[in-house]
Amino acid sequence: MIEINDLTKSYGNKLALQHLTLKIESGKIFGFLGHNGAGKSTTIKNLVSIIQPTSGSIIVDGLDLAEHRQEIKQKIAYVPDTPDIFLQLTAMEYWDLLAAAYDLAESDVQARRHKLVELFNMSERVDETMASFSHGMRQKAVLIGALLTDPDIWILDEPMQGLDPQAAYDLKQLMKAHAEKGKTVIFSTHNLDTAQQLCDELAILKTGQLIYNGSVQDLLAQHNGESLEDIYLQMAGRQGDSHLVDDIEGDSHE
Amino acid sequence: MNKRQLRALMAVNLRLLNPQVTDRLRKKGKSGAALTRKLWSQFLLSSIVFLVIYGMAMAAGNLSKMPGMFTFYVAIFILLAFSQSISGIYNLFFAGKDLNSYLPLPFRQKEIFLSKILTVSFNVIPYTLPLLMAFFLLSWQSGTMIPLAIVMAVVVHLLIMALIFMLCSVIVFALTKTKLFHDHQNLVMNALTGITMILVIGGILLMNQGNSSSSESFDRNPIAILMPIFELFNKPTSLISGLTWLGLIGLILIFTGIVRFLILPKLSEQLTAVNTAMLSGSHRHQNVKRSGLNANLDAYNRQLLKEPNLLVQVIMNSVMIPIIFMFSFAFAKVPNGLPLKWLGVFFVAGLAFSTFTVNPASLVGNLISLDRANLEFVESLPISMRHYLQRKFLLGYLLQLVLNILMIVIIAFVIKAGFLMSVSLVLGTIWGTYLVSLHYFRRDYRLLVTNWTNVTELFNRGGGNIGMMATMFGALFVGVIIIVAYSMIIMLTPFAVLINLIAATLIIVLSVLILRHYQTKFWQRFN
Repeated sequence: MIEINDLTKSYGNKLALQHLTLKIESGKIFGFLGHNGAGKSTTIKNLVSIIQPTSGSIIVDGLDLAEHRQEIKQKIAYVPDTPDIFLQLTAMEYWDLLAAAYDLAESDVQARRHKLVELFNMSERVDETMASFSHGMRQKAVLIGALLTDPDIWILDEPMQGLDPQAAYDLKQLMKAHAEKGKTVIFSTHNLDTAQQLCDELAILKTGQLIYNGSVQDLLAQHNGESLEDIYLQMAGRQGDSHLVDDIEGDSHE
Repeated sequence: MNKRQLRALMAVNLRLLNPQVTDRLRKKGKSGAALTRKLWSQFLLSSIVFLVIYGMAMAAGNLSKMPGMFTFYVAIFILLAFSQSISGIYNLFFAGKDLNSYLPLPFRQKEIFLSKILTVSFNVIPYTLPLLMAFFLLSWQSGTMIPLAIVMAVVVHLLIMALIFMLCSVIVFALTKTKLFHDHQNLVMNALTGITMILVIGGILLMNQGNSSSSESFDRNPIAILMPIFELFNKPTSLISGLTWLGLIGLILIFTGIVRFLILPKLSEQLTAVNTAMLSGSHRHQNVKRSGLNANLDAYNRQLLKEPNLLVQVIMNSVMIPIIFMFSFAFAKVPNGLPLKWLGVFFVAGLAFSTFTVNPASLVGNLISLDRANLEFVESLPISMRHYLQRKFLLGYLLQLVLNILMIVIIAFVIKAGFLMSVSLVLGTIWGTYLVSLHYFRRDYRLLVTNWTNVTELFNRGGGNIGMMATMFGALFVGVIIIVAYSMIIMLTPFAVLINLIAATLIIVLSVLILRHYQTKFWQRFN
């Protein structure tokens, strides 16, 4: 279980996250929703030790992240929001690096890697550098790296971005299967259909504050008959003036 | 120690340090462990080749009879290693764009530290190979058997390098813990570089001031604090030699303890904290309204220069290394009141100086790659690429020119060149900087890398860091030969005016050819 207690993060004078308190149970798929700049990635970056919170704490399986970073990292696989990492390595070299980081024996990863490579249709390109891949291919390579290590917690920051429909479908199935094994999947998304299909629980963030935390079913039940998209837009509010769409398009036709 | 993690991290770092050598080897079908082995062997091989070259350059004198010269070499290369390590450690631990990729991974602190320090050493050690050669030559010339001399030289070189790396790690890690650093990273690092540079250049000038060499002796005054190292090789069985060994090992133990107990336990925490501070820094620029394309392009190009640590590295490679190498290998005092027939020699010296200071690590040789993916985007805009690149070149050239003129004026002052000779030297530098800048600007476009994670990758394009060192050393070597040959002809023949006319004609013809070459091979393709 992951407990986020009163987590606050500021960048200079800007508060990116304000007093976030959450519990994420094992065996669940947990989704973060919110507009751009709502605090989803900031929360995730705190969870995976890329940044430190300004205040508050994160407890993973009873261990405080600030005190037990190394042990907790060993339990987490992370997919960043942009897959432009380790571009000078080939896909295979990148996966070897991850296997070394998680101290996995080659014999243990070989079979799983082979299956993942086949699933994401990358077998022809494993010896090409990440730099030579398209955005979608890089995303697949990074996903394979994360899934390869098979730790308890997957933390995926907008994992469907750039994936073709087949790969996105396969990833969703893998996420469900991972949670069914009693493990945890945390992900952020802008795709409300995906969130509705996958999430056992949701956190909706708005300008760094938690405005909803609970199950998707409860949320839908509270708003009789409305779609998740409508509910989300009501809760998160609109950014910018919708009338401007007509104005801008009108301008361009004048 | 988890050797597998260390090997994996080293494999990544080797590729990052030598991006284009890696690409070339990949095209030959190398990947994975085979590629790593090939990169290692290339590094070792080129190091040995360089040792032989340095050896030939240094073997002319008997170092065992020149303690002053020996201690001067030791001081100069320790200062060089110190300045390179400070920027290297900061660059690899804190300023690389790959920090976000490493931080979530469960690598152990010791392995991260060791792999990064080893990478720094790959960058720094090639520059200090003359020191290793000086150790070996002194030992050998003092009567030690060659195998033992090699072992002693290698061990002492490694001990001194390890000490420098640990001392620099302590400085950089202590500095990055301060609140001042968290609030003003660039300012603090630039200040540290500035202080290091003043220390190095000040140290060199001081050593030259204290030099009272006479015409009978080629040696200089020994530097007392470094004499134990001289004695260690010169009288290996003496008491002072034993005490020096003890001192070196004792210092290594003390610094290992400091690193082991003060840096390693909280390494991940510190890297995360520094990363947080960097992400938290203000990225707002003053919003100044600029009119016109040129003003906007110039403002954009100036913003590129704010890439963290870029200027630090550029100043190191473009200012300090040339100065150190020149003072160690090619330094001479100029007699007073030289006649006008020497103007040509000084002009050529200015040209040669530019070929040495403008190198693969110069700003003008990296400005296009600093664009990253922006370059591709700019190509899609309805603006002239030629104009876009010309603005970039102009900025790069002017900045390099300011640096070069500053350096040449200092050198002219140190060698007491006199007013007219100094003017000729400066004019040669201005013209030489222009021509060499053209070369490196085009090279940047030819070897374009837009997905770099660390500026060191850009500097190591082409032949890697050994290649860069070879370029600088080669330029220095050829430059010295030309200047010496020209000087000899001016001194020994009665036709100085004719010789100067021939030299001027040669310079003009070569300049026209170079300008035409870059016009047709580079600029015209953007018409």
